[in-house]
Amino acid sequence: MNKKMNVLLTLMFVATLVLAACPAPVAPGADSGSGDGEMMAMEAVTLNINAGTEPPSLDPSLGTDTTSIGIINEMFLGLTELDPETQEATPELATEWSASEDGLTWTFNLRDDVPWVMFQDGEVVETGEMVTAGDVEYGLKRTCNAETASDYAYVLYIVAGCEAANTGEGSVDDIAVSAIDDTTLEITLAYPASYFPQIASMWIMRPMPQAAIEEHGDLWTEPGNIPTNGAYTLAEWIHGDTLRQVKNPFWYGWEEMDAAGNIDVIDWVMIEEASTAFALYENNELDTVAVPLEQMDRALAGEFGDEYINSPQNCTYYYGFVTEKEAVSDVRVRKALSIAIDRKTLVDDILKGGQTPANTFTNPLNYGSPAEDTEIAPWALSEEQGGLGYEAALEMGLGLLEEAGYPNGEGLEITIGHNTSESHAKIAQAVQAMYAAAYPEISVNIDSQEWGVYLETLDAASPLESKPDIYRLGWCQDYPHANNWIHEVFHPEQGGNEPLLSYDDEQTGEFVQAFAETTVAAQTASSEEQLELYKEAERLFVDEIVGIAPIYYYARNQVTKPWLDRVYSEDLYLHRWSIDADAKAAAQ
Amino acid sequence: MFIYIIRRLLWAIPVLFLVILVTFVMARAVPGGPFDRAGDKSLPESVRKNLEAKYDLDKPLPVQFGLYLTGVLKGDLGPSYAYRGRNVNDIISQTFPISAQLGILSLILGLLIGMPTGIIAALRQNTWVDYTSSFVALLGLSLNNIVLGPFLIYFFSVQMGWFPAARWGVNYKELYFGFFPPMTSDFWMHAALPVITIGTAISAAFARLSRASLLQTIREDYIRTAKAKGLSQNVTIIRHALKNSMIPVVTILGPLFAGIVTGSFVVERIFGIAGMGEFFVTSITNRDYPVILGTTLFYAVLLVFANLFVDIMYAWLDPRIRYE
Repeated sequence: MNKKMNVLLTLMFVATLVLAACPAPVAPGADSGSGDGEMMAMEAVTLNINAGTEPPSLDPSLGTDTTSIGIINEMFLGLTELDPETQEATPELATEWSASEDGLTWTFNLRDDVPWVMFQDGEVVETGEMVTAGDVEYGLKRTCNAETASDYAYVLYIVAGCEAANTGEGSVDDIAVSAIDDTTLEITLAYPASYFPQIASMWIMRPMPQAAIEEHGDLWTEPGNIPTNGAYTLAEWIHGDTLRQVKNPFWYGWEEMDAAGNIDVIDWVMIEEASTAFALYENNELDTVAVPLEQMDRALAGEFGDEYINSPQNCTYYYGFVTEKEAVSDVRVRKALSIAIDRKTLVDDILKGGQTPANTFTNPLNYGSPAEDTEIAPWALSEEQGGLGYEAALEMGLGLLEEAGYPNGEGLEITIGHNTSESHAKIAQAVQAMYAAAYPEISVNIDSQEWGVYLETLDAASPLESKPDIYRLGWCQDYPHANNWIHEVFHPEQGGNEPLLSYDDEQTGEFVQAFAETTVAAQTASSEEQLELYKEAERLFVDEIVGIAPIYYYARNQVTKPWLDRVYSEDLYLHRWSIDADAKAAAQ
Repeated sequence: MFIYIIRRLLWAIPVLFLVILVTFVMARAVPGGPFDRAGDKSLPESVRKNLEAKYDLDKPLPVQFGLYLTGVLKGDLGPSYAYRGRNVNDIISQTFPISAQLGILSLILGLLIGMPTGIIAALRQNTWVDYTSSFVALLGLSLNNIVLGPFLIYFFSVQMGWFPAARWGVNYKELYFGFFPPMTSDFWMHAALPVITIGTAISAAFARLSRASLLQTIREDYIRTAKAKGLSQNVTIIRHALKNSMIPVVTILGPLFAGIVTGSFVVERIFGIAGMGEFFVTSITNRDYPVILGTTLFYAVLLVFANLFVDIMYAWLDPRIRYE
């Protein structure tokens, strides 16, 4: 038995080596197509960029995260496109649009020169079909369809009939979107909304290829199956590793748009570790990358010169108050706690990433945001921002606590909850220290939970005892309008209502009522009236109800190689990027 | 022996069933579900219901368990919730070969360096050779992957430019028989740094283990007998002591193998390698139940086979061990 086993093992080992080393038959999957792609890529202007993760889905109805949406945006045209600077809706697939007098019915006129294309045998070819209003109708209905199970379907509840179809109470056929002809699309809303053209830019209502989706099912987003109509199409997708998009030469924008870029091939890698991605950037293997935290000191010291860019990001970091918890049930306590967060110190000395201290929930990059308006929570703003400044605000905070029966914080015990993460912990510890310095007698605990558990804890339906007094969360835009912020997140019935706002609260019930009415009124108001209404809603929410303590507006820190001319905005707008190919080649 | 193997394999069935059951129950017992939120956003109840209906999560738990088990018997490990359109079978077949290549190469490197070092240290006990190798082994064990990986990237890639900074040299579409990589220089260049990262810790562990084990074996009676009957030092060590002293090494080799070929979360993440390691961790945070179950089950199967292999090896290494 000894000998036999010996021989067997040796044979197995040798066989493994032989198999592993045997000179190539054609590797499975490496068809001639990708070989041509390789050739093309060598001469083509190529952008190397990090997606950061495997995109969870390239299906426009199903995308929820920035990675997926960034890739989807290049492949499917929106009815509108948001201007990278102003975030206003500008023509894309739709050349013009108008609303009926009651603001309910919107008519979009579509281009007739957009073909569906696919990547086949190493090149981009037309499928023979043109993009029509019917494709948009199909796409929108598909997102609303309950069977699609789209996370973002709720944003389209604004379209009459979508909510009923999505909740199973109505039929998909009754959704109020119809293609009058190939180039005219009519959509009726559930309520008038001047911001609808911005929603019309979103990925969930893009034209989608019905035939391919029905033929391939879940696999329709794989290369070879997926017809697209945007500036780029999908050539290759190695899950978890790389993804390649190639230029769609039939896209009208290359000729028509002054801002169009010159990139032929976009090579995405999926490196999760920011420091590794940065090493690739230093090796000239990536053209642009986010600056990891540990490199921020170098960036701020100017070591990367012009390559380093700090730009605002449309997200807000905040601490919410669970207003039904005993400790923070008094609005004066909540305000004192919001005041005692030294936002400027936090941003400048602890986060060091170019963030801006926040006095509102709605980020300044949105229409209707009253951010940094000194009539709203001036105690949250530094003196440079025109606010009270921290020292003066603290006086106010101490007074409020005294009135509430907690002089110097005596007798006040609060818990700050956050999901487990190094950066959230750092902020919570800083705030804990600020509270202790501001109100010496206060007792502050920090409680961190794993993300999924944390979300369940915050859910409005979860038991009050399990909730912290203060919770941390952030919010990023779906579309750049105050409605997506103050209304969709905090309206007591139509938002998630984690702060448990109540109309019956003795101190703030009236304000909650007024707040809820104001955000609803703003939806149907004219654009000018909206500015006033959102300002009032924000003031009520942050300064009177004190449902949350806004902390800071996010910022992006990126480095870009000198040969790349890129856009810094909420979306990537890759079709507007240009590369000086000679300079890039010379560096490599 | 043959009957023994058959019996062990039959025993694996209830073991794997228990693994599925316990994992299923534990995954569901953790608070929070896969569709509570998209990012930081809470999803409306209606949207969550649609998602749960799509993946049968609205059915009673026993029914869900039955559905899952039926799927497993048919070889279908179900869809991923976090990566819509991908299923667990694809995820495993695409990521396991990459992790296994990294794991096997690291293991080979670990054995090649660790074993000889340990053996020489044992044979030269209490000399400078022993002290040096023991010190280096301890250093290797203490150096965390999180430290060593980025250091290797920084020094050998960014500074010296000798090796690529990240990624594996081959993807799942380029493999022979869905498993074996083409042995190009590109493959080896990409493999070098991650394999060294994992191999360092393994070789250190093997060095310490084989040294301790050999030291114990050469004090056994039968070794003294071998020497007494006039066998040379080399023959005694190589033919008699070495083989027997391998038993503890083989014992840890089984579970280590199963663990290492299913991927290292940390090293794969640091080097941006599309392996299986991350799915063990992220599936739990995502509450991606089918991926949790599928990866655990796959790991359990490997472990069962690795342990069986270890038991067979015992019989070969030590003539006193016999299986009925």
